[in-house]
Amino acid sequence: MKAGIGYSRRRDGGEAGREAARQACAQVGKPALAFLFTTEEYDQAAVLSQVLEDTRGARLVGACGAGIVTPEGVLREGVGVLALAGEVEAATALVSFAPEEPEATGRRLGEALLSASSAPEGTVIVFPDGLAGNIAGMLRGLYDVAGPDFKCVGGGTGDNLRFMATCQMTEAGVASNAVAAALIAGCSFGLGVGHGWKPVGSPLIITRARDRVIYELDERPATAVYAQRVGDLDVERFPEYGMRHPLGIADASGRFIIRDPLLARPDGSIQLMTEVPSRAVAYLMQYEREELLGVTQEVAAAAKGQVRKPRFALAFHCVSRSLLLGYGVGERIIREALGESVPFLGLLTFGEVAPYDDAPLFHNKTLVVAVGGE
Amino acid sequence: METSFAELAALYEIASLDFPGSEKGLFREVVEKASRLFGVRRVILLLHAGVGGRACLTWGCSRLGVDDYRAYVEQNRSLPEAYVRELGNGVDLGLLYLEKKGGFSPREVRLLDIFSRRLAEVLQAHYLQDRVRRANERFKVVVENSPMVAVLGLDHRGKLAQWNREAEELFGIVKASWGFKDLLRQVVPRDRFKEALREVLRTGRASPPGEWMLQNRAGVRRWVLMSIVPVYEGAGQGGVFFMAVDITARKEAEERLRYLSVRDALTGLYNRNYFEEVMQRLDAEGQRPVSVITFDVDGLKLVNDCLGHAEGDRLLRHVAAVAGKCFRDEDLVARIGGDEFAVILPGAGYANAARACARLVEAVEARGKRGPGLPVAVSAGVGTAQAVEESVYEAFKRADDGMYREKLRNTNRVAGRILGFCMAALQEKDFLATGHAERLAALGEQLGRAVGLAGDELDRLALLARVHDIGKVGVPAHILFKPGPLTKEERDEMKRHVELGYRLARSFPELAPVADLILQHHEWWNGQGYPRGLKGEEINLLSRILAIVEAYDAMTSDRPYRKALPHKAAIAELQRCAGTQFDPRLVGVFVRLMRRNG
Repeated sequence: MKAGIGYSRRRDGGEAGREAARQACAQVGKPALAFLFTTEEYDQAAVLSQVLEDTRGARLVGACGAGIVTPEGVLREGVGVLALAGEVEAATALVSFAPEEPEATGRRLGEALLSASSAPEGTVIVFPDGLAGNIAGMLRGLYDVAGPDFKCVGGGTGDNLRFMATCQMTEAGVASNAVAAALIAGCSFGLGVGHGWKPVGSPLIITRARDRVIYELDERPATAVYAQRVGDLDVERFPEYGMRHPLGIADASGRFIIRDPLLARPDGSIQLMTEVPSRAVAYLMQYEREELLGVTQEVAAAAKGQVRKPRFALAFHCVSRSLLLGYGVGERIIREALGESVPFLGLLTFGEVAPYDDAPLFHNKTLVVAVGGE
Repeated sequence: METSFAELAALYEIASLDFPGSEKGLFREVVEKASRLFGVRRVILLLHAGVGGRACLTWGCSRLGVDDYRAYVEQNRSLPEAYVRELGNGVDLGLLYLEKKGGFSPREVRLLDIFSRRLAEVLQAHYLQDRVRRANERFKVVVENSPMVAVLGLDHRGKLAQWNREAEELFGIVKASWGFKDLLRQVVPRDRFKEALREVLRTGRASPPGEWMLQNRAGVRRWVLMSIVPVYEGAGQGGVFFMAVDITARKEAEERLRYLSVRDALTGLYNRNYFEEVMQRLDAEGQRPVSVITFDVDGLKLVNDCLGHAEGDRLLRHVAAVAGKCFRDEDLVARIGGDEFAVILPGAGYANAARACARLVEAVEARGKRGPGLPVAVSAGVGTAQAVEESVYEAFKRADDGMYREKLRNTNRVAGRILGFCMAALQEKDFLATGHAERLAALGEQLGRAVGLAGDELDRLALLARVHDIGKVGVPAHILFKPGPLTKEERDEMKRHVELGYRLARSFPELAPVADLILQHHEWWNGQGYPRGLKGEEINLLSRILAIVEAYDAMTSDRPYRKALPHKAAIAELQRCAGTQFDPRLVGVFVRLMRRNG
């Protein structure tokens, strides 16, 4: 198995795509699968078209994000391509995301992938629209079809924090409000997932929530309770508070999945970046920079440690986590943890996909690293 | 995070598991919690008594290629990765199977046991609710389509909660805002209904079925048999059900029966039974004074006999109607026999009763004075029970005795009035033959004398000539004055005047001597006449004479449908019918008499 990466800061989409694809292909020859990561400024169709031309018929899965994670740091504008060649078998699928039927969306995606592949096991790299509702439900639908023999990993597609529109891609084309995925067989993956956030204070009961909105915490209007917990809350600057004080929902083992408060709604409720379970226990979370940095290193090392011969890595880093650390800081730690020999490429994401055990979960403010190899 | 806190958080989530509206939705919740909280990789939920029957819900199992998940569970039950629990405490609700790579820790198993029990509770509650819901739906369907029973449910605020089609029809429910005030507005009597409702709410027990009247805005009244049933659903909650059956038809039938049992069918006045019942009641109550007036229609038998019972009945109804207007509301007017009436006047002394009696007699007789109808009069008597020691019955007897005395005094007067009426009516009805009777009398006298009659016989013949058609007062005018030929039925009706005349004549002493003659004046010499088919000299001579002179006068007089025949033609016709219709000897005498008279 060979892996090659390329990235470009060229402003023209076609040129950037050509440059990134040619760099990647130069390292592997004719690829079997290409990952394409872009930022929102480009004509995505032009980028895709050029990359497909230069990857010469390879399967492709791609996504737009808030930045491209490269060994050199974060590209706030750019195009990145990771090409895989060798005994890698890949199938891709691009399905529209039906917001009222997330499980059904996941099932359709799983059925499309499995019908295009005969692999008995593998890894699904999945890029749901990060602005879509109930991605966790979609992942449960996907898992219901794929089962534990297929690991799911990926990230929510995003934009430059304008929260307007994102895009998802396969060789079939560019879409929005969709989910793109590639099923990869013939390649071992090691997965690392972690965030480094710690709970603070007493628990909060999510007494009423639906999809991405928490209406009540502790049976009171959610914003009022949240404001009480974080201190003097300036509603105008709510996203900033949300970025620094997310909510953490614990599992039975004490592990947390993080949820990003996004804005305070006029009715006193809080809209989050991602859906949240109702009648659950949440904690206000806080971070220490050193902890986050330490977890970054641990996640990358853990992923690498699961693969005998690491050949490449994919990193899906929450955009707000990257922001808190400073663009490029966490990415440098990833590079150091993976080592110079492991080329990697990644995306600053709106939510991250990775399992703690078998079934995929949807995280916020988390780093997911997938190391591929033999 | 400390595991104890994580455990508490998981416990909260587990305990808050609730039914989201469907079994599939519940399974989604189970999968969400099991995968997020415990990291399970497969979930199988076998439901043995699901709403839709047995069901198998799975997650993460698509690629297992398993058809029989029960067998799969049994096969894997003992593996460390598996967690299997039968659901239901004493009730076989189903089975929960969870699978996790590496298996579950004892702490996780303990939490999952709680989770399983909560799941079973939720399912059991759901099934129970579903059974209740289905029972309610069945009940609702039955109630809503109940063909005779109106069901109306009001909540504790008096607002409409449940009702069926019968209730819509019976109570006039036209909109959902209909409520207690609308019900109260139409129930009669309202105060008693409110009291009954208060009692039901106070005791918490259903009222026995009671009869109530409903009167809608248009004034339409209906009777219902209604029960009031309280429904208690906690303090300040619940409501009241009204279950009613429309019994209007039954009540009307009862009312009709009751009416018939105390009323006289012909006149609508109270009947003798009720009259006596009231007398007894007044005696028992000891109320005094009580007066009784009895009165009897004079000449009713005569009218019945001569003019028929229909005319007699009309007379009775008229008298009843007049009497009904002559007394106070509290007085009781009854028909106690064929032509006997009685009035009970509670609280009235003799003087007042006598004045009331006089008013009655005057009002009845006023009818005869005002129009050309049959003269009507009553004989009346008054009795009063002044003291408690005197029974009302005794007062009645005195009134009755007085009435009979009065009746004896009135008998001749009444007969004279009726005869006068009949004669006037005969003259009025027989206008076609104005002068007919006088001519007959003259001709009859001539013929009578010619055959040797004299004295009383000639007087009887003259009377017969005048009243022989008196029975025509009972023949309907449309037959009597019909311009064309009569039908057979009409002819038969017309023939009745002979017998009617006979009966009338027998009823009046003045006419009794000619009653038999009237009866025979349409008999034929050959026995083909009517009513008895007498022949020859079985027919009284005077009647045979009248037959000839009447036929001659009729033929020689104009009629609306024909001109008068010439004398010769009339004589020829008499001669033609001699020996058949007429006595041939008398015809011969009459012809010679006519010739001699020129």
